[in-house]
Amino acid sequence: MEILATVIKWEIWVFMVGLVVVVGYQLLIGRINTAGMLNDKESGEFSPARVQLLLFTFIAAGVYFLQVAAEPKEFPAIPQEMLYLLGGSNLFYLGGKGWALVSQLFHLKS
Amino acid sequence: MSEGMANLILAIGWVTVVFVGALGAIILIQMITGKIDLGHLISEPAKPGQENPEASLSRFQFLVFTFVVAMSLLLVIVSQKDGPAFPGTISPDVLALIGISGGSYLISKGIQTSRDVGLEKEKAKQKEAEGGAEGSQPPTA
Repeated sequence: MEILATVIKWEIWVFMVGLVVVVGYQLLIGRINTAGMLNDKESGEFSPARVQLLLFTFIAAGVYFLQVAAEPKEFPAIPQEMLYLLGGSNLFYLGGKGWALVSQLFHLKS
Repeated sequence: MSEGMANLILAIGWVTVVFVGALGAIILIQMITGKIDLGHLISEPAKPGQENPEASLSRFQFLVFTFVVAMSLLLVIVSQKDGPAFPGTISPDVLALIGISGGSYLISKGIQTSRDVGLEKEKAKQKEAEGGAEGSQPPTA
């Protein structure tokens, strides 16, 4: 039974890591479409709001995973400041999208 | 429990492990060879006439946090003191993390859908107005 548990553990590990590697690699070589991800959907121009969201996503995800890897016996407590940062970043991004929608609905742009 | 029953349970366990392992391997191989196409994993749904839909940042963020939380959960499960076991409590901070990324994705989708519906209505109104304008013009000889 212990051998079975070890085999299951390794199977799940290999599958999860394989999934991350496959998706990560295909993102890097462009097989997964990332075109227009950092462009404003309406104007097609480069959007700083999207860049800041991308940066904070990577920072938050990286810091969290490193914390788990350092002490894997339990989920680490995430600093409230990080949640505020991530939430604020998302709010800023969604605020921009929402404003574009309001502008369109009420024809605020000339 | 009799020895026969214990052996049966072990046999079922091994069959399940082999089956799940084979399934996982097939899925990974098909992703690598392209049979499972991940090309539009984080793309917006294609609009009519649109060949290459654009990628969505909120979907990408959702993907990143899904992977991070799943890997973290796996790490915590296998690192338990008395062998692999589900943790007793899931930190509310983790749920907040998933909530922020999931919520952002849903709101973004809602805004995008409202915008697309609004644009379609505008186009329909313009077409009606153009059709009405043409109809009111006198026919040419």
